[in-house]
Amino acid sequence: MKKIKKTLMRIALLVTGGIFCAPILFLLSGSVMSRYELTQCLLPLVADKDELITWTFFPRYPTFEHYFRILFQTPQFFAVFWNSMKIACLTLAGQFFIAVPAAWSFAVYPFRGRKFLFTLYIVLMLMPFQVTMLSSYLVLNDLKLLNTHSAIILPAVFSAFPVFLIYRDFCNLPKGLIEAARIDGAGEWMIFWRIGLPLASGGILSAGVLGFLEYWSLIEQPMAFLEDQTLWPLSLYLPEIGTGQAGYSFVAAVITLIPAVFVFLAGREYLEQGITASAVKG
Amino acid sequence: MKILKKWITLCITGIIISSLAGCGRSGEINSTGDEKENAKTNAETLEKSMGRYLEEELAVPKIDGTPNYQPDFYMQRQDDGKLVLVDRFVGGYVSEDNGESWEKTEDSWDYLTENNYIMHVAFSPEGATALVCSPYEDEDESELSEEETAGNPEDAGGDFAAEAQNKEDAVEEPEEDAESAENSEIPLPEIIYYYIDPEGTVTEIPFQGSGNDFILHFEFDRQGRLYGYGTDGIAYRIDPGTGTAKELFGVEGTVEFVCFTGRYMVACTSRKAVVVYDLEQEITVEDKVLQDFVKENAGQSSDISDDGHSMIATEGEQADIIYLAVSDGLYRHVFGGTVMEQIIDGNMTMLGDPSAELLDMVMLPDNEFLVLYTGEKLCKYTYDPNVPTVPERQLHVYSLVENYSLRQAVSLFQKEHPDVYIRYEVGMSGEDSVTRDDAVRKLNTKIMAGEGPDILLLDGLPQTSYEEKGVLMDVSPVVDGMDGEAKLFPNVVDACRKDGKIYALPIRIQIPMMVGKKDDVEKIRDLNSLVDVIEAARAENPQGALFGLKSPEELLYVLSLTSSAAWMDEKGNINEKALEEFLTAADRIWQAELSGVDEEWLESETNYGARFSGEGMYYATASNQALNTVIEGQRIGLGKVYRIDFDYDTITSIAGLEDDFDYEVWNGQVENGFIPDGMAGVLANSAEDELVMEFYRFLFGRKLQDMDLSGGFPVNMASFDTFAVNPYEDPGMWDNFAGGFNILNDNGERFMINLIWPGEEEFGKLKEIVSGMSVVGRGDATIEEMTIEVGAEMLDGDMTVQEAVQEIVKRSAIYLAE
Amino acid sequence: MWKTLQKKLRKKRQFIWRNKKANRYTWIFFLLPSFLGVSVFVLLPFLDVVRRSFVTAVTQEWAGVNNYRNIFGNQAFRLAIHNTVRFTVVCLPLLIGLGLFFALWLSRLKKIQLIKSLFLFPLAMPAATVVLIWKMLFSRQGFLNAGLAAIGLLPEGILFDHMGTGASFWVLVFSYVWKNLGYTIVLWLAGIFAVPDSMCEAARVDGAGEGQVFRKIIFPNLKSSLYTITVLSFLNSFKVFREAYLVAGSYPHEDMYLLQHLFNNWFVNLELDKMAAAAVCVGTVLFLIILLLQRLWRVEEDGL
Repeated sequence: MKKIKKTLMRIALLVTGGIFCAPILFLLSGSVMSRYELTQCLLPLVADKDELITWTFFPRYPTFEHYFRILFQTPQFFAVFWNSMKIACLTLAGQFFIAVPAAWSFAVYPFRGRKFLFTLYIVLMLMPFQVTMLSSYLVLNDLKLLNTHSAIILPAVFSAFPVFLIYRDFCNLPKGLIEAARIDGAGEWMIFWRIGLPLASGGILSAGVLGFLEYWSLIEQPMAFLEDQTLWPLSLYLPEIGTGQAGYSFVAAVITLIPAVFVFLAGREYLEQGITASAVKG
Repeated sequence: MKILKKWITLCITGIIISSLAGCGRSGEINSTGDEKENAKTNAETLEKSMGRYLEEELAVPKIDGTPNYQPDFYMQRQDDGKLVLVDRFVGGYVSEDNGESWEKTEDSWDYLTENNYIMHVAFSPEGATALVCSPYEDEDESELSEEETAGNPEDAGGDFAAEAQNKEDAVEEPEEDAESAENSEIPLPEIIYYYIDPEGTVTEIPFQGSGNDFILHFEFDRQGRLYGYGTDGIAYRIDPGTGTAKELFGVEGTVEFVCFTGRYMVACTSRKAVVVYDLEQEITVEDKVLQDFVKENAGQSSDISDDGHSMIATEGEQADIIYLAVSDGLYRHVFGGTVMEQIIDGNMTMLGDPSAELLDMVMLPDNEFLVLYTGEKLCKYTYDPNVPTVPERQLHVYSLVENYSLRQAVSLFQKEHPDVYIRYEVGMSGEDSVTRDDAVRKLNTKIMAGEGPDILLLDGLPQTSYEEKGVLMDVSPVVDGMDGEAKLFPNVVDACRKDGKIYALPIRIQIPMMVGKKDDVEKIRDLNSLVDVIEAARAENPQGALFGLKSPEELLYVLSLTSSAAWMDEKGNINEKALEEFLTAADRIWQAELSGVDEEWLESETNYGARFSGEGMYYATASNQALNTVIEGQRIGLGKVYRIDFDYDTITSIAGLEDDFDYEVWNGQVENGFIPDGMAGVLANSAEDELVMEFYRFLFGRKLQDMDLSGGFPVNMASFDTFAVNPYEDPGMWDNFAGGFNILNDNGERFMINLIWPGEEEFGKLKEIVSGMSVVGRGDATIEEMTIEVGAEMLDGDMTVQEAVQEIVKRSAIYLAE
Repeated sequence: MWKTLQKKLRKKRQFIWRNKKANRYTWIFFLLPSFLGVSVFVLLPFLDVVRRSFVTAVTQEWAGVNNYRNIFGNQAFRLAIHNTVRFTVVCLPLLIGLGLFFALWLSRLKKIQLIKSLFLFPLAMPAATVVLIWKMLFSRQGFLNAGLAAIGLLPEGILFDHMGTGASFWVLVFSYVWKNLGYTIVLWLAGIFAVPDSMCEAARVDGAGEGQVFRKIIFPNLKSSLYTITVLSFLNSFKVFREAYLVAGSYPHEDMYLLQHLFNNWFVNLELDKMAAAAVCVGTVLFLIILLLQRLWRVEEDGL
């Protein structure tokens, strides 16, 4: 009985998961459709007629023309792709060096005002971008960082989001371990480096994965702070849909997806490992 | 699991490597972009750096010939060091002193012009000539090919002159000519190619094109070999003696401009692409940097005339160096290299002047350049190391979308003040997906950071907010001081006054007009009477298009031209009644139109229209509508009038030819409302700057306002009066001839309409109308947009008028409450 | 032996004392870089915003509490707040609850990698694509209508534009849940697995039913997970603006009009003073909410 129940649950969950991923199928099939077919399918939407759009998941005339166009005929695409990669990777690197120690300090050291400061961090993290857009612009302007990638990377590096995530992981570390290390004569830095980091590596990696996904698809900050279009990231480059551009836009979206998916697949194991590891140890 | 992990790691590494590879490639691109940017930013930021090309205008030879003809010159350096200017009709000129002075040459092909229509002339460096000719037929209009009439109004006029002198009425009723009615195909002209060698012997080139294709133009390379470029986009190398042709390559579209260096042929196509052909190896080669550059930058000149080229080029000091000129500037490029180096900034020279199209260029010894423009302008560029690279005094102007009048003003002003650099920033270039909101937010950020423009055009910007917040300067003291030559239409000025202050003034204005039968025009006084007239007209003619507006959006857009200002009152609240009245009227009009028009026809028209969007694409010009009344049998026409040439004169000419035709200013819910183009304002921060105010005054001064700008009529009174004079004045033609139309309608009927420049009476009527304008006709852009959107749904049958009004009120409530 | 013990104790005390001293200031080194950065790039702009809430927009003259008075009477502000609150109140429990529900199921199964990945996938989709898919699904010509028509739920010949009516709110909710469910499930799972199996087993042996096991044993241990998930979900609920904006523009249907729409539009019209005042209000409210959450779930701040 239990087994049947379990199998049923499994199937149900798989199906739900599949539905969740359905949009990807749209993307993939759309990216190999010829322009003509795409126009046929999407015309009612674009021309705002009173019919329903159609879709063929297995296009009649699959073509890689859009892929060719993007990969070989649009030089800007590589520049833009590289911009996104640069922003995401540099931000993550910076966050590692800045946010992890900060989370450690919040978790391990009871200092005065810790609660207040941490709450402040959270509130600042929650503020939507539009609120501080102008003021950030002015600050960045004074620092002469505008129109460079640093204008996006630096504020992102100091974001409170990873601090919050990793803090939790550090909190779950067994207290006894640290005490013992101290008694054995280990310095604070050693404790952090040798004990804290490895044990929380799962959390750090998961923050990394989430962070990558976030910074890979930034829209508002580049729009506001980057004037020069050659500096724009991929997320700003996806053009608006028009019948002529639909295939192009699908392919660009697929290509945008790929690094995200890879990071996510690679980090996924650590996502689970890390979280469960620190939990189980407790 | 482990294997999976391995695969994943491999793939990730692969991705990283490929993105690095992309980085490499993009490094190239970036360096190109960077180089260009550096050249530009160098020009902008390193104010201390010296050295710049200065522009000097040279005298172009006086042209004999018909004054209405724009010579399509090209310029070339001959083997003997002389420069030649050649045009197929005007002939050749030679200069022995590098362009300072020119003399007319004996044209070796003179006698051919008697019996042939010369389509193209090419010179070889040694002095040989190749021509593309079409022998004249007997004068019979029906056999003139489309190509000839479209390309040469003068020629068509020549024939017409003979005809029109025999006929009173120059407008043809649909011809019963069997040929044109049945064959929608236009008979092709016969083409003959001639070759004249340096001694003067004339031979025919026995070249045969395939099918209907023929050679559009010839070119000679530096060695004197002959090339031909066909209508099919194929480039041939042709032996003039035997006529044998070797196909070199083909392009999409046609080859528009060709430049030869010692080693390469660079062919620019009509589709903004460029082909580089290696003459030695006889193959096409790739030069990605050059090709990308051309794709991005060519063709940015205005589309007023299509005589010039969007880009031109000439060979450089060595066989693999080429100089390229686009409206952005003059660039230097080494074939196969990674850089397009900007030598001359287009902004500071005539290159950036939207009214001067590029014709040809030549490089002179000592790194000097000669560039030839339409309008017979020849400019010499000399490098002066003692002048700062970027002028010390700078101005920053802004508009949301590219505005021709402003662009022209910038160019003119810089020419007069070579020590001033004006940076013209356009918010939405249209090429990327920047929305209006994004552009405005960017602008606002800049303004708040103190880096805003000095002068801006408020079209599309939240003008009321700017006024309220004190962003704009009150220019009334300046404007009220404009007198004499600088005097502006007082009614326009007063229309822009709010509480005694003026924050923005239009550089040009457009007038809404209606055209149609005399009775109808008389009866239409406002929106409701328009509805009545249309319904009555429908009762008379159950079939046929009444006013030819093909989609709900188009209808609403046109109607809103004279009504949208009435929808909001001074306090900033929506006037529901006015909205209701408007939508009811639109509904009734649309129903009347639909009841007599074929559903299918409407569908096909809307499908066609669906490919366009935005108000720019609506052909809401009164002259177009007027033509439709004649050609398509349309009953009433509504639209804007923005200039006399090919616009107002169309209306007056038709009025002169048709009996039951009249035109008047069109009033909707707003009476006497004009449509402003280019509302110019000054930022409060820049009010102190003398230079800024000088430029502002320049916008309304005679020099700029006298020009025939496409944005609308001048607001400067003296300038307006100059338009009473026909610029096409030509003793050979009859009085006030100003061009003509030759149109084929859907049924195969051909119409020919000659345009006559408005006479005293007509001009006076126009002036009266303009002087009577008292209000700014367009209201709040967001409300307008909402109304058109919701209104379109209503017209499609999705809601009633009441519901539509409520919807608009609801949507705009948020907008107004903010 | 006594001596060695004393020695050890002294050593320990010495170490403890030294380390306690070190402890007092080491935290600074760990925190400083982050704190500096946050001050400059995050705090400083916010303080500027606070300043702006007391002055006029462009000319920056003192305006006292005018701006605050202004916005509280402002209809658009009220609507935006109403919608944002409504959205949060609907979405958060929905997401957290659903996440828990699915996590509990998953916790019973083994080898759940694939399923988890499937759920996590939506996180990777770029916003522009998501918007495109939504358009294809929910507009008048979209697939939802096709599906409804096939089932027969759609009246003949009428197509709804789901984005243009009150249904748009639910589209947003759906979008939000779709995107964030994966990560919520993962977080819950982590929390669930943290509860030692032995306790559950013991309870089951004692005869407790599944429901009781859950309520009495698992749930109380999930409090810190709940806190994290709530904060994260809150954060992500603001991000839904991006999709809303890309689909429906600056002036969407009433029910979709969120705080960020208002901020965006205020910025376009240079209503910076109102923006600043509203921002300060929102910030204060958030601060209070976080404090409340901490109090409610008595999350231990003592750490190690």
